[in-house]
Amino acid sequence: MNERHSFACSIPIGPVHPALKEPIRVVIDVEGERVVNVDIKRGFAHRGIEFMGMKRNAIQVIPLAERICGICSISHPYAFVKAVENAADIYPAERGQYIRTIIAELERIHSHILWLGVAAHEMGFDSLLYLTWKGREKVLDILEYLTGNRINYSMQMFGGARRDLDEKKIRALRDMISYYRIFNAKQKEIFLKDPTYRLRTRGVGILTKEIALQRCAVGPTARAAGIRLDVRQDQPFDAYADFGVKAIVPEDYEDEYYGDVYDVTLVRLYEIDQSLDIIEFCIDNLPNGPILSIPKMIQILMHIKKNGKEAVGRYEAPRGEVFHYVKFENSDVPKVWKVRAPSYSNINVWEDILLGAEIADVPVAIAYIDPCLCCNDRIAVVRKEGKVLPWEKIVEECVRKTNRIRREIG
Amino acid sequence: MLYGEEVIEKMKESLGENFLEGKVIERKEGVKKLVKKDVFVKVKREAQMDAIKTLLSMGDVYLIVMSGEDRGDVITVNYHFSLNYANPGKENVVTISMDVPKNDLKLQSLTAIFRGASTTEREMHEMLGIDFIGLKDKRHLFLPEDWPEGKYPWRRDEYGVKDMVKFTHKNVRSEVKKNE
Amino acid sequence: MAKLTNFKRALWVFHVPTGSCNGCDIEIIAALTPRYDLERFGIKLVGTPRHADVLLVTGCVVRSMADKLKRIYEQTPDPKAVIVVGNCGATGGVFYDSYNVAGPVDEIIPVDVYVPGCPPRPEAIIDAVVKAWLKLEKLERGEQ
Repeated sequence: MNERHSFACSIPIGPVHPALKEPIRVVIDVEGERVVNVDIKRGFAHRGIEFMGMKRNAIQVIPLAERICGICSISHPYAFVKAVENAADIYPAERGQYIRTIIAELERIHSHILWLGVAAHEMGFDSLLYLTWKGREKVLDILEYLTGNRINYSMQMFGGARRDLDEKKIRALRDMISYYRIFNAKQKEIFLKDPTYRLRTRGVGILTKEIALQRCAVGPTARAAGIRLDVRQDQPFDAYADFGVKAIVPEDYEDEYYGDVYDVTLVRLYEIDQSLDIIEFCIDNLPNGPILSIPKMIQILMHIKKNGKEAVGRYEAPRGEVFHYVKFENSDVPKVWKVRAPSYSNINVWEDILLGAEIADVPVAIAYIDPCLCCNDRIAVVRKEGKVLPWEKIVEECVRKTNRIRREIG
Repeated sequence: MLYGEEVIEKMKESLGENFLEGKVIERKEGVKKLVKKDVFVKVKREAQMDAIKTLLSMGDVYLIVMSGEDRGDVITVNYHFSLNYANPGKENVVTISMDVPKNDLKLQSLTAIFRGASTTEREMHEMLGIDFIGLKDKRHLFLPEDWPEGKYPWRRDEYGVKDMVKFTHKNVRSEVKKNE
Repeated sequence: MAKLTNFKRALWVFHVPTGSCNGCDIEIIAALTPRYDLERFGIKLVGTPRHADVLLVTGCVVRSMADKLKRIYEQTPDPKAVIVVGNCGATGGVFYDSYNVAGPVDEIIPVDVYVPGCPPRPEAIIDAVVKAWLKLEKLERGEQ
């Protein structure tokens, strides 16, 4: 064992690098072109959020939970609000439940389009980055019209939502849905039918069902491996309970699947279609009535202080399952608050999919799980002797391989 | 397929006197008022592996996360599991809690059953100081490498971090006072 | 003495994330996309601080990133400007009482322009880069 590793060189992919936008340290040992060992250090984004949350009252924790992550900014407050509603026995108003679901599905669309652009950029298709991100601007315009901000829209409150929808906003939503059906059809043609993309991603970063189960992977990562796992299907809540969501797995759409990057792209593209269907269902069946079941905030805090116990809340974010556990004891300041983001367990999958891959495939495999390191909420190093290669060289290799494949197929 | 109160019944009969209490939280969701249940179970610390093995025999299980609380003389440790995933409308979240005294903070590690449990056990080790028997990798997960020894962020006693907190908003107030 | 002519050409920008929630980072990249299009001014994102003229820092500085931020500041060649994007870098933002935050950015490196907002819009970020450009040109003329 020792002789094999003595010829390996280590490549530290350090905290500040131009490809990933967040600080994390990954050290990979390579022999020739193949990767033999991976080590990860997290913790460069650790801000002590749970510690701070145990000093503020329940309503003040909601803006803190929103800023755990800027991309999945609805997911953490949604799970927290469901947990507190379960703990203090508050029933949310029906119109508020549907409005929360509409905003959550809009966020899923923008997050998946963001990932498609980033994955294309890692491979060297920069024009695809600009095309997909330009299409994403329409969702951000609608979100700004409905809530007031492009990112960090605070629409959640215990008992419902904070802002209402009227006729003009519903008409704008219907325009957006028809725009995105055409845009997504174009995207599916570009990503799934292009021969270069197919050759570049088939067989890269294969994740089998057994490994995904052992590492407790969640979200599209697990669905691409073939497990039909989705919180909106298994424990439905709010408007999902009326719609009936089915998890999307590649075997429904393709004949052969391996759990690689091509399958994960397919799962995300079809999830955008599913989100458009859910938004249409919610607009067509929007119930009438108030949006909040307890209108004044002081009354909500007094209710929590009297009845608060312990409870659990979950939600399916664009990257996987978000889990919050909260416990109150005669006060409106939570005694225990535990957050678990999807990238917490998905990062363990890197060790399995990077083994045996070539250096040029490392950026693509790292982007496979859609890492959101700030969601890790806190955010590994093995230092060995050896040659040190800078990250730009790795990205250059990745782009060179793409060009070589493109030239070969003519 | 076991759901709700049936899970508690099966745990009670297989653990006997090590089972302390159990409860179910029931909610109704959406306009159609679909029923959803969550299960909470409290056991004695000696029955840790028995309780988990009983749960594994009830269906497909995966470990979500562990959480803990400092309550003076004991630390309460909760294991959160998901039972029977991938079945529409029939999944349960089962929480198993146990009290561990502070002068004997040791628990068995689950890495032999779930390889992905090492992440959450490393976090409990650095945040509360619990020792897991059988865990191979005990490095810090989120805290930096030069963190001082013996300081555990989630504890409320003399090992806590109250003296390491930095108030950044004080800068503005002290500037205003200097100019006055 | 040779005349400095750097700022007759366009600015190159390097982005430093120090433990943020990513909202500001996404708005910086959105400023390059066809709707806001920074590249028509010639401003582009580079991969190493040794080529950069302007540093864009986001996030409240976490303890383990403080010395790395200082080293990146020293690696950037003169003349340079530092822009802090978002509320977290300016005063701590929502994370004002944490045990792992080494302070707002101006306790570690000197800052020229602050852009408030959570997150600020891409138009505000473009405005800030142009203000830093004008400040650098004024400094260059003032020294001569």
